Amino acid sequence: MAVIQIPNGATPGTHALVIGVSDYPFLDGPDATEDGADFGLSSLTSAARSASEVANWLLTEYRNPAAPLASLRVLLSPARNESIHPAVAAALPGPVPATRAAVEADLRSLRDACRQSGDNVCFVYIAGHGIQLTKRGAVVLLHDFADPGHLNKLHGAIDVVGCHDGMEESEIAQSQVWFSDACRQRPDVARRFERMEGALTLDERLGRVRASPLYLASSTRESAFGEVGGTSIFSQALLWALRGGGAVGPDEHCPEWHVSTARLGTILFNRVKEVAAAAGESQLVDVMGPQLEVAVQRFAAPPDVDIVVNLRPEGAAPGPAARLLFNAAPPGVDLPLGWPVRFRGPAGLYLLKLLVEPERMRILRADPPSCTEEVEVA
Amino acid sequence: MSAPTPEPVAGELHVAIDVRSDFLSNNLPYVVRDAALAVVHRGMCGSSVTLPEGLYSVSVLSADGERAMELVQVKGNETTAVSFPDPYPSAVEVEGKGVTAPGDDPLPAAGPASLLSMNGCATSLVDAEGWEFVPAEPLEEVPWAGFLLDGRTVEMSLPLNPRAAYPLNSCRVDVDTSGSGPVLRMAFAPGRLVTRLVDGLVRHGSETLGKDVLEKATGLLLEKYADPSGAALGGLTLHRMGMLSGQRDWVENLVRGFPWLTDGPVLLAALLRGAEPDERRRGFELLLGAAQHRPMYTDGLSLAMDLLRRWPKPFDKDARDAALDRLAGLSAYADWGSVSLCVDASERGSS
Repeated sequence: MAVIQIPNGATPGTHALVIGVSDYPFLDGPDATEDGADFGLSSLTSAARSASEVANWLLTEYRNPAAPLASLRVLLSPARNESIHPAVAAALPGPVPATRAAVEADLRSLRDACRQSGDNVCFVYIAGHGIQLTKRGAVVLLHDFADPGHLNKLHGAIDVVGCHDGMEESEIAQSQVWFSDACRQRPDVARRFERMEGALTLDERLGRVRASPLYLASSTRESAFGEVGGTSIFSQALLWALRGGGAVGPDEHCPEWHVSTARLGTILFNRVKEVAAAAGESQLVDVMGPQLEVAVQRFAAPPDVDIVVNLRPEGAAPGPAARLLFNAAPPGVDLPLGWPVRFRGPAGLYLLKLLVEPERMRILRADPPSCTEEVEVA
Repeated sequence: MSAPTPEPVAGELHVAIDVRSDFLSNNLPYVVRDAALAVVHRGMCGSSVTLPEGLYSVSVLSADGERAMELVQVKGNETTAVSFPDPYPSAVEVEGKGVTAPGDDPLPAAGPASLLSMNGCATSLVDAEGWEFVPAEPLEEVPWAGFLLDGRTVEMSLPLNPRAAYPLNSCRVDVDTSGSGPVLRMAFAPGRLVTRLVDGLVRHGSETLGKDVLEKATGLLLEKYADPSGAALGGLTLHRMGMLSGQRDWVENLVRGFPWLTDGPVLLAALLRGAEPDERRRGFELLLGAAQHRPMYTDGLSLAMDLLRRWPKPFDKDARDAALDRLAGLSAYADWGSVSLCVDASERGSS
């Protein structure tokens, strides 16, 4: 097992499992088996790196006062030239390949930890080759997929949806969040897996959990996993959102600024689609499972926002002076002369006053991480 | 002694949405955030709230399933009205032009695509962007059409509504050339407003934000037998969110009332999967029956396959495998970005 125990691990706490598989020795390279090579799949370039970035975020940035990080299980199978996050590498005892046996052990350990309190939080991220044929499935191939020692072909794979469903029971962490970042296979490859059984899954139990969204990302091409040493489109979007890009203000579910599961759903859906489309790819994010609002990340203070206001028409001279009033309350801040206006301040609603005759006003909503607006003068 | 802090002056905020549906104009949720962007009120469009004067952000789940936002300044002792525009201002209900029935020759073309065949449907309108389809009576299976698109044969299920008169029974299929290659995209008729909301929530990834209105809308679509195709889409979405378990009667009605709609038995099988053995056997039979037919929605196909893969033992493994094989032949070549099932039949045929 590769469990990074957190000193003073809290109860209730957050228990996490992060898996990233780039290296598939039995599919590709000198150790490839006949069965493995037959699938025509090659190792990925950045799934392990992506997973290590998520693990590092959990170790260094994750904040949840109600359930601080208590344990983190990390299994990484990097490709030959792929580096993993140095802080995560330093925290691990050595290589921790994501084999079936290792994933099974960590999954059992995760479930045991999550069962210690219903107030625990469960966090799971899995990246690698995916072989799902539908929008509701996610079977991810593990490091030892196609190992000739396995009794069935799908033994070296994890059925993410099956494990997700198996973690739904009454006496377990009632707040869970799952991410499957998988590369979808060509139809002729995917069809060959359809009736295969034996992927790692969990028995279904009685009861439900309060919230357990599963975000399923499936790229159409391996290039969605980026260049060697890079990170996947999905993991980039996820970390961007969790670092504040998806932050929302306090509400009835969380008294602090936070990233909610609902917000994460729309952000991942839109951002992944846009980034993939810009690269000429297609990548969709589907969400499954009970989706009661849960704060996935909390912030100790309202995030600051970079506010930029452009003047239209461009080059209008002389540009007027401007004042920014938080909640329209005087006296406000006189902005430095010159356009575009730049200001860094707390997230929120501002009244921008252009000091011209007649006075012009504009309400700005400054959402993290940045806000760009335009105002027109005659 | 410092002077007492003056009482904050309050004003009223009224939120409305311009949409030609009583249900939607009173059931679309809005959220008010104050200047610090903290939520201070949640309500339904058509209602008012009293707030301390200041700046507020009002966001609403619009009738197209997207979030719309307005920024307002509430002033003391005044009413500030926010009205969100109709997202479909140009959605004029048009008259059908010369219905083209299956077998008519030649079938019309639109842009880089041409229509090859129609099953259980007919065209009511053709223009440069695409086709509008209406159902053929009586429906015995999910209606679908075959297209030649960029040299490929593509088959798309059409979520038509045999319960309504034209144009509320129709849907459009347009050729979208904005991506790397042309694809077909289905749109419900402009007047199918509640169904369009359900569809919009799915398309924009807003299901979680709109889960309450989704539940009400789906119930409305079925209870009044208004739009079974829309109700099936809502049911699938609710199931995906773990919110369908208490709706057994509702799903039974969908299956009983609209036997041609393949996605209904799939939904019912999903509810029966965890039931007593007799009920579970019925669920499995429903699933095997449904697997013989084309689903309406991509998500209906996904659910059917997921259920077949995970059905609790004991079951007839040969029958299960045969059903799974048949559906895998659709799923492997399905366009996952399409809400209604759209399959590349030429690729499927060549594999």
